[in-house]
Parts: sequence; structure tokens; C-alpha cells
Amino acid sequence: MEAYVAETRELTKHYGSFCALKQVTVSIRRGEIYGLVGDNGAGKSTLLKLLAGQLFPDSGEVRLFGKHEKRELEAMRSRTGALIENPGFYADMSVEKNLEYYRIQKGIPGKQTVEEVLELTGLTQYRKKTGKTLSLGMKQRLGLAIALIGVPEFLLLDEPINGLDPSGIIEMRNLLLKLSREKNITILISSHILSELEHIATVYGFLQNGCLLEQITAEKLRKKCSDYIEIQVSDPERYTVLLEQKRKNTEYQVLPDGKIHILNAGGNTEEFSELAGNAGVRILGLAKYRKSLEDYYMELKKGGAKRC
Amino acid sequence: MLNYMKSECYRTICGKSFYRAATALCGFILGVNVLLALAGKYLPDFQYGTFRFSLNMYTGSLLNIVILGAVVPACLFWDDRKNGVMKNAISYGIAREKIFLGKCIVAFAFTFLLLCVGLALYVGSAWLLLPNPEWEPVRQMLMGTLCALPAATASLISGILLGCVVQKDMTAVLVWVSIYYLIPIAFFFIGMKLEWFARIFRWMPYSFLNMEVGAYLHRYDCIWDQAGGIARCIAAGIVGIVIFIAVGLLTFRRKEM
Repeated sequence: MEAYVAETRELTKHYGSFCALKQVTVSIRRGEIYGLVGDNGAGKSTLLKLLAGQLFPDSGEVRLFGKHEKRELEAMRSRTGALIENPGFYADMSVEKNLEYYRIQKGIPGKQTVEEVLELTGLTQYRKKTGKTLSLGMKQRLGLAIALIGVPEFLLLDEPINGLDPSGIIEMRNLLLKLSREKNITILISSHILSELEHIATVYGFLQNGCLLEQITAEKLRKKCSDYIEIQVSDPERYTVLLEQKRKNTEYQVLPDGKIHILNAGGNTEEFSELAGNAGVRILGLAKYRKSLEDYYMELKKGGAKRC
Repeated sequence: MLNYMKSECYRTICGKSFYRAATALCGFILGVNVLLALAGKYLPDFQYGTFRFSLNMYTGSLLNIVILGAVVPACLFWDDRKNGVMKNAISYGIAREKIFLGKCIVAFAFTFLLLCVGLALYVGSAWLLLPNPEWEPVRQMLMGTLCALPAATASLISGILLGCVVQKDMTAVLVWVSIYYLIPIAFFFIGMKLEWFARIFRWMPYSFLNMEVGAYLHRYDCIWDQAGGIARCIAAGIVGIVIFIAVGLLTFRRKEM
């Protein structure tokens, strides 16, 4: 079985003179929920469309399940499901008939497939409603149901929570987690709402102005974003010597303004204030902070602005 | 491609677009014959309320089949690109070429079905409502339909091609009208001065289905009276089909959604 469900190598895409993607290389392993983060216009939808075959790259390569030739890619796309931008369905046909249309198109035998997807997405009671009478959230659900027909191995979702109400967002999140855990579906999900991805993503890719700034696992990111203590003392040099001598495993950073960030403090501020007090170093300020995904992203963006 | 065609057939049968188009066509046909019957009955000097005149109206304006060839697929598929169903099909790995050819085949099947129903209704309603039913106008009508069928198929393919490739509806309509009306009319007038244009014009549907067909009350002067005329209609239609399929495959295979 292929380790990578999807890969791009040096993928570049222009719209006229505008460069939407610049040599983007991403790798998505089987079973991952890959959260693609970026502002509007960062290139998220373009990347998803390139993976889905809706756009053609100017240069670079797309691989799905290890295949990259045109015909092979088309064959591999039958193993994927996609909800990119607006959900595509016929407005004058019922939810059930729309799903049946796609079931036939994908060549999936057995009408129970439609029942399963209706139930999975919570659309059973809306099955007879026509597409045009659905609310925005229900349309999104129908789009997801269409993408899920035939239980794809790889799901491409472009901002799927757009238009959903708070309970709809929670239901969508739980559904994606369920699909990942129970059916081992690999998911590539884009969003500019970081808090939403924080709940489900196992890997993050940060895009800015068409550049991939970083690709990082959720575990590594959590470590980077863990609690830290900021301490400001009268004699920073002496305090760092004390840290080296008496708290040997402590990771810390000394900032240019003299403030010290203790990274793996575990939230215990007392022992660090005692350390200063016992040595006669005066504490000017002490506070505990948590770096959020938003903070991390904003820092990354600042750095990325110079690169892209 | 078979699965794609099956899904399009399912959608056409379950959707409303085809039935709307069929209702409009059948309503128009019935309306014409009812109007002729009423006029023949209540207007004392009205001499056109006959079976022959009704059918000759159709035979004398065969370019309408070419229009029908473009209108039906437009009703069936026009919104596919905009509502996102085409991009879904591509995302699921159906090749663009197969989508285009699948659409052409399905649209042809349903348009042909509609044409058959329309013709049956036309002849049937005229037979029931209008006086002096006879065989000759029916024969001329069927011959004309057979001769127009290849050109109508080419028109159908061009309609699908424009619907798939051109972004704006109005641009697509203008291009279609240019191909079937404006360019032939230009060739006709230039052909009065330059022989080459006149020769090319003779191979255009506007010429052989419109200007070379005369269906009058007492006689017929039609292109299909001679074997060469029939051959020209069929050959021109086939050339159109081949050209539009080739252009469709070449342009649609690189079309981005």
C-alpha cells in the first residue's frame, strides 16, 4: 500500500500574470487529516483544484496514490471525493436523486450506498427536498454527501464549514473525525478558521501568497505552542547561570530586551521566582503565556512575508 | 464513459429540463395546428387551414431542426459548468473527452426522441384537425427531416461545445448564431461577386436547408429531389459533426474548471 496518498512536487500555477502557487511541495500520508491553512487568496483552493484535476499545473507534478501519468491520475481520482468551493448538484432534483445520479456516475453498485451516505451526513429527513430549497448548511452537507459516495480513500474539502451554524460545525467536525478513525479516510481540508482545524488536523500546511511556509505535524506544533513563562529580572545574565546550574533540563530563550522565556516550565511559576529570590535577583515581571495556533501562524506569516 | 452516460440519462429522466423542452415543443406544434384549424373554420377566405399547408410550414423551414438541435442540449446541459456538476465529474476521474462525448451521445438520443415525438404529434394533430390529409406532404416532411438530421446533429454538438467551453451564455449564443446565420449570410452576399464564396455557401445548412427547399401549396422544389442534393446534405452534416467533435475534444481536454 502506498505511504503517500497525495503528493505535489514543485507545483506552480499562474492565472495570467498572477502567480497563485509557487513551487509547492506537499506530502499527505495515508490516514492523515491534513489542515491547509492560509488567508484568502493564499492558494488553498488552487492547490485542491490541481489535486482534483480541475486545473492543470504550469509546472511541477501531482501524484495520487503514487501515480502521476495523466490516465493513471484519472483512474486514481475515482478513489477520491471532493468538495471544492460550491457543492455541485442539480437544484431542481431532490437530495436523494442527486446522490443517485452520482452513484450511477461513479459506477457504484447497490442503492444502499445512497442510504448510507444520507444517514452518515444527517440528510435522511431531507431526502425528498430539492436542492434549491435547502439551506446553505444543508447544501454543504449535500456536497459532502456527494463527495462521500462510494467511501473514497482520499477526501478533498475546501472550507467545508462555510455556511454552517455552530452545531453544524461541531457535527461536521465529528463526522470528519469519524470518517478518519473508522473508515481510515485521508482528508485534506482547507480553512482560514484556525480554531476549527486545531480540533481535527494531524498535519498542518501553511500557505501564504502561493508559497508553502511550513508543513508540520500537529504533535510538533503542539510542542512549539506549549505554555511558557516570561520572566523579567534585574540581572538576566546571572539568572541564566542559575538556570544552567540548578535547572539543568530547562529550555529557555533570552530575548533582546532581556526578557527570558522558559519553554518547558510546565506552568509552575513559583520555582522560578524562588530561584531568583534565593539568589538575590530582583523579579521585575513574571507571567505565564500560551502560544496559540493563531500566534504561531501570525509569526510564521511575518517570516513568510519576507520569503514570498 | 458508459457510467457517465447512464448518469446523464438518469438525470434527464428525473429532472425537469427535458420535460419542459418537450412540453414547449409539443404545445407549439399543437397550437399551430389548432390555430390553423380554427382559422380555416371561422375565416371565410382563409385557404391555409389544410393538412398540406401545415406540414409544408415545417418542410419549408427545416433550419428549425438545426435550432432544435442546439436548444435541447442547451436546456439539458447549459448549467452544468456553472452549478459545479462538471467539475465534480472531473474530480472523480472522468476524462474531459469522455464527458464531452457522453454529453453529445445522450443529448442526441433525447433530441432524436423529442424530434420523433414532435413529428408524430405534428402529423397526428394535423391529420385529426385539418382537412384533406394526404401522403405526399408527409413524405416530403420525412425526406427533409432525414436530410437535415446530420446538420442538426452538428448543431447539437456545436451547442454542447459552446456550453462547455464559452464562459458567458450570451457569447455562446452569439457564436452559434454567427456559425449558422451571420457567416452564411455574409458568404451569400460575397458569393454574388466571388464564385468561391458561393461554392462554399452551397455547403452550409442555411443554403441547402433554407434556400434550396421550396414547399408550396401545389408543388415541391426540394434539394432531396435529386440524389446529389441528398448527398450534399448528408456530407455537409457529417463534415460539421467531425469538425465540431474534433474542436470539442481539442478545446475541452485543456479546459480548466
